Amino acid sequence: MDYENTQDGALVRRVQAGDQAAFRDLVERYQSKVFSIIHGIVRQRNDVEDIAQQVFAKVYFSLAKFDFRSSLITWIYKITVNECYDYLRKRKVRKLVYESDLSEDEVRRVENTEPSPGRNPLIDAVLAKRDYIVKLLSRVSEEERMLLMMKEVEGHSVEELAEMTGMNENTIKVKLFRARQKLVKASQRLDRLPSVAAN
Amino acid sequence: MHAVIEENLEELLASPSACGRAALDHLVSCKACAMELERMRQIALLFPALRNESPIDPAPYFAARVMMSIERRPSSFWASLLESALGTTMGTVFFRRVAFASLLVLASLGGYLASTDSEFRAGVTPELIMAAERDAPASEYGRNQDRELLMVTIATFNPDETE
Repeated sequence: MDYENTQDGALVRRVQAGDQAAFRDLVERYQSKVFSIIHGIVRQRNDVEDIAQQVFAKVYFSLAKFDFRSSLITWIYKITVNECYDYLRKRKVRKLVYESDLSEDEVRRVENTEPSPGRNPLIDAVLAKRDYIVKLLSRVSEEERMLLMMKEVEGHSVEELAEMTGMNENTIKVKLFRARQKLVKASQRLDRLPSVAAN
Repeated sequence: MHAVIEENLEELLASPSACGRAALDHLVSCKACAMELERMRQIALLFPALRNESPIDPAPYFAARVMMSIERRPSSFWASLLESALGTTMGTVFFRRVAFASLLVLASLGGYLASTDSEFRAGVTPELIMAAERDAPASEYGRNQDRELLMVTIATFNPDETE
């Protein structure tokens, strides 16, 4: 598909020519989608807007390199998912630094905290699933992560993915197959770890 | 995993009933493929947990805040460094001009040093010493002694000492 001659293509061309109002239109067009993707992955309402701002700043500064080989939303989707993983990585580092300041007793107390009686076990199960799949997806490449999420979370078909990414259907199938194999291997490794298996 | 399953993997995960007979028959006979497919299916079932069921709307004026954050953000490290140092958005252009001027000064200094060095070396060659001795008036020791003195001068000539 020729993405250069679409409505998005015209918008991108205007931004590339330095039209700030066009970029504002682009933000308004995609902000809801970006918020939704971020919230789906990080689930921290307070941080969603900060991450979304980072996403659009990256979009703005990289838009000069956008070559219309894929659709604009595919490209923004990839940047958004990567930004979420950057955020999760930084949060993990911050948590490790914080925990290193605690005494052994304090760490044990935090780890053994009983779940509060008011918590909904169904919500806990969904959160555990989400954490697990987020962990698995951190073991595949950025492109594989994007393809898997667009297929399984957004519900796009192989044909749609081929059209959106500018790749042919067979390439998409092969990439998805390899990504799924990596997820299986990662899950086998994770299940061998006692802390994850307990969850 | 065998090719027949690999080729039909997406169909098998989405709706096995719509998949071709060959793939389904293979799954009955190949336990390894059936097991790996089942693992992939289990993992695929985890993805809906990433769906955002309760959409959150961007806060009002989000686009305006994005535009403000972009205007505040410098485009590169060096530009930001120069911008903070010079208080100008033309930091990159200024940096390029300074670098170009420095290169010009270096090139002209290098050229000057090379030319003065070669002139100095050319002034103390053995040929010049011989010519100077030839043009000099005869000394009180006579022509033969002068020649011996000239030979000693040439024999003891060391170009390194002249540097």
